[in-house]
Amino acid sequence: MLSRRAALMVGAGLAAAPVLVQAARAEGSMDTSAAAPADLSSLPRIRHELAIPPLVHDHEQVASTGPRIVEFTMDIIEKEIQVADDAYLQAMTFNGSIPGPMMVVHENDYVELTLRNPATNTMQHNIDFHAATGALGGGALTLINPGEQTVLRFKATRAGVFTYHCAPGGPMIPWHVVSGMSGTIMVLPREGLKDVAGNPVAYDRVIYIGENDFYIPKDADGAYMRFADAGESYPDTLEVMNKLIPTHVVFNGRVGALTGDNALTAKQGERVLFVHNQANRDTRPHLIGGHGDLVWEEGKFHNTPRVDLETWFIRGGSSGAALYKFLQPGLYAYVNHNLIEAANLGATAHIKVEGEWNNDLMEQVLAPSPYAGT
Amino acid sequence: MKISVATLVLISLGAMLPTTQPPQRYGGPELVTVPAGGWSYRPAGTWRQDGRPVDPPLQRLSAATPLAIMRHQVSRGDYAACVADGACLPAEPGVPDEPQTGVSWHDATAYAAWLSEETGATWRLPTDAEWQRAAAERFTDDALGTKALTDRWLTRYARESEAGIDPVLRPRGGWGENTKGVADLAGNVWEWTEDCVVTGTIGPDGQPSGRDEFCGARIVEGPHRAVVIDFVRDARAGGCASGVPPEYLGFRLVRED
Repeated sequence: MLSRRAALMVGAGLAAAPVLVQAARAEGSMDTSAAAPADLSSLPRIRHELAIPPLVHDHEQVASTGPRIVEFTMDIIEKEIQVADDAYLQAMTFNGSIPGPMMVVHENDYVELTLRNPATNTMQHNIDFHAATGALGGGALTLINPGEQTVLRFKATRAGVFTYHCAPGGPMIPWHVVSGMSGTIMVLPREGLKDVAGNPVAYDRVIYIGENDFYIPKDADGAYMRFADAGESYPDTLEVMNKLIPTHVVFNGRVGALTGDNALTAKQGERVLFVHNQANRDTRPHLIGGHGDLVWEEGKFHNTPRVDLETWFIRGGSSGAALYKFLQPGLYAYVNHNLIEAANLGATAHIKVEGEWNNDLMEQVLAPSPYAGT
Repeated sequence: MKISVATLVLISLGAMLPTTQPPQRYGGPELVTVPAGGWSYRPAGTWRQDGRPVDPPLQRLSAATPLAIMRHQVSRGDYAACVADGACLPAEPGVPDEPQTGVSWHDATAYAAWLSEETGATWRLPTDAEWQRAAAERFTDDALGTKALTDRWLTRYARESEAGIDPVLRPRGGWGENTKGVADLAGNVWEWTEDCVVTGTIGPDGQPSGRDEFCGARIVEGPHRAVVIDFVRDARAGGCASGVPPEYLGFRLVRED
């Protein structure tokens, strides 16, 4: 199945090189050194180690202090990953995972990210935070070559879950995003989340879902092509991308990342905050057998949450959040309710919930059985 | 995941012409004879006792005659001969020595009819009970024990998930033989059986007291038992609402003696 074609590698090199140069000229030259310094020396600092999705690093829901500088470090990793039994992707990742890890801070904290592009990588990368203000979300200040690092600080002035993604210029932007470079930062209100009436609400845990649309080329025999590196994959991938029909729509980087052995777990009575990121394409999460008790569909916490939703809409290029308390035990499926994408292309997660069945909520009054007249 | 049916047909037609073996007009494929005798049998289906889901009892079956079953699953090479004769629809192309995957129950029964015509013997899919007889220790008992509905559900899901099935197809013989000498049972290619879906009742004595059948779906046997709609060729999908789908669908036949 490994379809390495020398002719294509040459083509990939030619196609990709001018774009990289152009990106460097357009966005790599900005700096902020001429502006008045901001004195943040009195602010306390805290450093969080990032967790691998669907987990999220430990954090307070209600801030116990005033604003702080919150430090994170992410390494950009280019690597081949398997996205289905028969399909591989030359992936680009924030910190090695798809989605990139979730960062959690509070409103008016300062996010201080050290972004590193190891010398073993082949491309320039950067980061555009939808939560940040100015400089293309930080993208114009963070473009780094292999072997370089940069530190970006921004003030988290708006509360919500926000997408971040790589945006290294021109056609590299969508390509890097559909190669896996996106994630979520959650900026909590300092006083925590509130329900419709303004009363505090808390969650017992966060489940962090990153949805990706992948566009993997096929060879003449219909088998998915495998490439030596990202550059070699570019021309064929671009052709598939530009038709806008994904070959895979998956949660957390591959078909089955959150099902089977990898299924999520919860307990009856647990309140789970589902955070869903899609950096490129609209989607519509639905919890089969459950609901969205409180849904911040646009993901921004100073808006009144919607209640009792069956399906919610995540605009491509955003993150959204839905809080649900599991009332009934059993198996739940969390899907993109374009069911073709859920069942055939991969966008399904399973949650195993332990507890005692409640016949008041649902009962099988008559088991399937024959009836007269058939 | 998979290429479209239309593409598949074109590819198969194109790819097979140069490689197709002439139809094997021979006595038939290699067989294993499972001797007459008894074996344990767990019926498939959904069973209830007093309205509660229960496992059907493990039964002891016996046969006075031996069972003649193919040692291997029908291979792509075997199947290609039927396609070349115009008696089978083209299916997933690949290495001739690999099991023929991507086949529906209808494809499998069409092959059986063709092989019967070719050899003058009667070939058919095994019943689920025959499959268990031939599979012996390779059969995975799917009894869940006395549990509440939700626990049965979660237990089944966990069991199927934990199997950790290698998705790479192996050539004929790649999964080894069982104690009966039958090869490649319960690898990653599930096998169609003749059995329809059953809804049954267990009486007060703990024995089956009634059963209804639905034949739009059939039992497939592999690492775990599953129900698959008869016209489906690829049960594997990106995800499914619940449960773990069969990785590949193939088949082997028994000969009626």
